[in-house]
Amino acid sequence: MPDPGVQQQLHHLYSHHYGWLKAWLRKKLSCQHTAADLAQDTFVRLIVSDKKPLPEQSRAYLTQIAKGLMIDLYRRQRLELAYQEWLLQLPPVETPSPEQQAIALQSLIQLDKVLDQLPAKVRETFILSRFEQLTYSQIADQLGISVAAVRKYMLKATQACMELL
Amino acid sequence: MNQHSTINVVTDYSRLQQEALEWQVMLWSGEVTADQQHAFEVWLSRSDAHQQAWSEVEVMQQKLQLVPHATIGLVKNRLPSAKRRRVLQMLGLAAVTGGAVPVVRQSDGWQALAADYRTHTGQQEKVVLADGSELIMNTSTSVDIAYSARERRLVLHEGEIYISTVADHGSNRPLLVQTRHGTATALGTKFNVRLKHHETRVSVDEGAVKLRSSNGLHDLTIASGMQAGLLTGALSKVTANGSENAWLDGKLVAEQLRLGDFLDELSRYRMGVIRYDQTVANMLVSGVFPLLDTDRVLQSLLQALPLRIDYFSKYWVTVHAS
Repeated sequence: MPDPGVQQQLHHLYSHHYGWLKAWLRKKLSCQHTAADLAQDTFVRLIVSDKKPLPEQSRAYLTQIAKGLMIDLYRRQRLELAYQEWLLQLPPVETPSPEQQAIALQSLIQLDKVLDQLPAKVRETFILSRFEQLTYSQIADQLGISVAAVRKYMLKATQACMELL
Repeated sequence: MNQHSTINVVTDYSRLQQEALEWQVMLWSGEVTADQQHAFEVWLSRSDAHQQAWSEVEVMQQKLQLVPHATIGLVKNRLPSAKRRRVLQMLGLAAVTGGAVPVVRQSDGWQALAADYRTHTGQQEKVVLADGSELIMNTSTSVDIAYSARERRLVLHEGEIYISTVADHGSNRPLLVQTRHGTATALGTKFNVRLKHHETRVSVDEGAVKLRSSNGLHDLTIASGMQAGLLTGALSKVTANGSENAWLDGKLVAEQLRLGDFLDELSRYRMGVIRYDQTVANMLVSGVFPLLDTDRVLQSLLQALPLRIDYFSKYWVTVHAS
């Protein structure tokens, strides 16, 4: 059960900040519906994070969350477009089913997130192995690291994929 | 007692998951020996729990396989580290903007999205700044305004702007436009700045503008009626202005322009993508076209040239030879 104090605090935040936040997002995105969705998501994110900003910091805090969400949205749109374009280049017979498309796009978006959290070397190693089909020795040569390091990085990246993909 | 054995089972299973991951990493090496392959099969056949742990890894692996190679460039492109870029260039894997993903244009990424002023595709907007200077923003443009006690700085992240400056009463702060290629400082003036992928093009209508490359090594003053480009660490030659600023009147002016260049230009004003066959790219177009009605422009091309236009959807247009 949520603590009534917290609930009241959230209600206060929402009633004081939803309006300007939505207007601000709308200016940035120039789409009313997306702005409303993102403003909503911003509060959800705040609630889930369990942090309670001090009243004088609320505005800055919400703006920061909203910026993060806009960046995510922007990334997602870019990835979606890249995927759509790839689909269009396929011969019709090879076009995946709508269900497969949805899974693939979701995987792409997740993978982007996973890789973003990894150190550059790990990410590089993983892409060279999984998407450029290089062997571990080739990767080691390419990046000037040992094969043992390649294995270590692959394990780290694969673990992250297991958790998030 | 019972509780104790449950914990044991859980620990064992997470150990199996870890082992399954390690096998996967080994199998991905591209250099698996017959012995290793055999050892893996022995491991896998040891129990149902082993197979269960392995099938979880397989689900992940199948999802990875669904991610098209063609889209991974974007994921990779997120990384600005210079060293990484060099390695990728060496492998011929870099450079994703432009060709591969046409809708993502010459922008500074998320900064463009979070900028102070922003226009969307096909939108133009006029902004009056605090000192009375005027800014007209062309399609898909984002600008940050960074006025300080010392200077009036505009940061162009993406797109194109036309600036009419006014004297800064009292403090005489210089007005300058910054892009990733360098700065353009107004010397009492009207001028246009367009950020492209490889250069920032500055053309002067009135007065003069001083260009300085981002490394600070090169500068150049351009007079009215002239234009030049800021490149990374260099400046281009000065040439006379053409009809670059026709966008201010909502027009696209083509004088014997290659159709490919024309369509690239037009696509700046249109949501989605315009693609074209190389066979039509070298046809020539002349005329004055209304920028903000790109559908009409496409239709009028059909009357002038032997073309066929396919619409996959409103956002996916392909131009072929008829």
